[in-house]
Amino acid sequence: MDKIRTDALSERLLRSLAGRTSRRGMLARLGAALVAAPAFPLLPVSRAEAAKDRTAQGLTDFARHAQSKDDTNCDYWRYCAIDGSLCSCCGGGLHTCPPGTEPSPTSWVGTCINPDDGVAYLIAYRDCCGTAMCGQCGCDNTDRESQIYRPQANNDIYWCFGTASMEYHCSTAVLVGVAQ
Amino acid sequence: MLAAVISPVTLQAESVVPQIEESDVATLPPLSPHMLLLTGDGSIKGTRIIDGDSGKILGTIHTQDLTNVRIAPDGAFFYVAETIWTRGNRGVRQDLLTIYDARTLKIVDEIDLPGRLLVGNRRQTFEISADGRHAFIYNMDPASSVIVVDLARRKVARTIEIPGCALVFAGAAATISSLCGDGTLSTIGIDARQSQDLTPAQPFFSAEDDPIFDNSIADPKSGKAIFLSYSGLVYTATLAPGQGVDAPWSLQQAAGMSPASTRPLEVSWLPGGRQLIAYHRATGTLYVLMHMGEFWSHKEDGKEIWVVDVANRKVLRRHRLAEPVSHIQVSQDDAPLLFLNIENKLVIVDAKTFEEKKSLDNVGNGMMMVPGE
Repeated sequence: MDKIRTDALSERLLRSLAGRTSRRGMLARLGAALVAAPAFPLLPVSRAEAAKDRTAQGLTDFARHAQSKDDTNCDYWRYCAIDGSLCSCCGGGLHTCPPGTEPSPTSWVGTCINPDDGVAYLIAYRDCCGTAMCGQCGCDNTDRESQIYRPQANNDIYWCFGTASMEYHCSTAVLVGVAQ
Repeated sequence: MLAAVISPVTLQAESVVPQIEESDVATLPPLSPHMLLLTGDGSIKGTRIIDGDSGKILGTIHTQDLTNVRIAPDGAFFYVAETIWTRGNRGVRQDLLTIYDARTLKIVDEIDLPGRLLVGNRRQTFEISADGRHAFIYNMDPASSVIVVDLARRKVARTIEIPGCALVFAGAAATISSLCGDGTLSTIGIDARQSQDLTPAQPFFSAEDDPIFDNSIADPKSGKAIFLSYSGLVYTATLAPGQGVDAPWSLQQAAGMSPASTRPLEVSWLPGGRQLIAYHRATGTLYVLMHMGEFWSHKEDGKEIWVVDVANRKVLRRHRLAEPVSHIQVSQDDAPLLFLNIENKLVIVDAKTFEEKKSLDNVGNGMMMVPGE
């Protein structure tokens, strides 16, 4: 997949609108979503079952070529299901939002394998929201990426729910645990 | 200074201009089968209305990123589901259904919506019922619901909660259907006082192991739906109360190959792209963007178009593309045109011969809509 094509970067990278959503209203809706669980699991535990086969035969194309040295490249191991601009290229880092932005309390998730230890980790892709789209280091990786009826596994949705502004800036890849 | 260099010959030519011109504004021709609505994206905003025969732009509707556009069944209006903020990039969020006259592109009405999901390149986050009476907007905030708009009264009629499900396909018998994360299909009556799932809750696909593309297709008139999975399984269904989903069949087998593998290191021809399928209803012909790759390459652009006879489960033709394609659409008449898009370039080809007719650059790279789909 061409990860650096500028004109046809994913729809998430092309996000440029901003806005304000009612935090109270959002929490009420979050409650409604929790009622719908487990069909709508908000925690990334449901992905722990994925990718149990750690042999070369069990690794996806991304995992076979992933590296652990440079977090400004799309093939960095944690980015196996990321879509958007890497915050590491925008003044932030793997779990750090750039100045003037706010991390979303919600996220989509991936299960990615660290090539150094062969262990699968749960990664929460939290968007940093609130200022103009970064536009640097656009990636669109799709390991175990599902559609919007599995929203926690979909990387096309604007994941700026619950932030003061819904303007997308970049995406982080926060390590939240070991996949069992 | 300038006047000094203008020759007498030039002055003489200008003096024969027959009349003084006044500015006016064009109107669009009546909707015809070869007209295309092409939404823009982050780099090119607006939705262009293009004449497929001449390859020329006839007009542009103002649309932002992540906007959905639909054509009224009677061709009188264009419906735009959009989200704007009072201070441009901040302020109060406003979700709207904006109604445009399909000839003048003047705004006829604006209907406030309680929300809508912000997601790109999705077809079934906005739909119009076959009778044109209702619009359906999918919302996720992050609980899932469908907002039903009464287009005759031009107001929101109700909101239907669809926990665990997403998208909205308009079905027959005043129903809407959604795909659910547990692998089921949910069908709900739009007029019922209490929402009730009318379909058997039997999972028919795996949202984790072989998801169905959001950009699957349903005909609001007949309720006939075609759901396509990442591995190329085709599920047909009738979206109506009490109806189930037919057993799937493999696109690859329909082309005389083995079914695609979902395992790593095994390469198959797979469906992929953004608007990756188009359906010609009168002939039951499905056009699918296909690429060679491993499973989980479902966003990869198409390198071939597979032409599929859905009723007979047969791939009629495989057309190799000169350039990869991310979006495909087909006109619904008996001399159909295929619209192919990649990186803001539109290529118009004859759907029967694949002869290239026209192409246009810098026109946007979003979803494409045609009359009668």
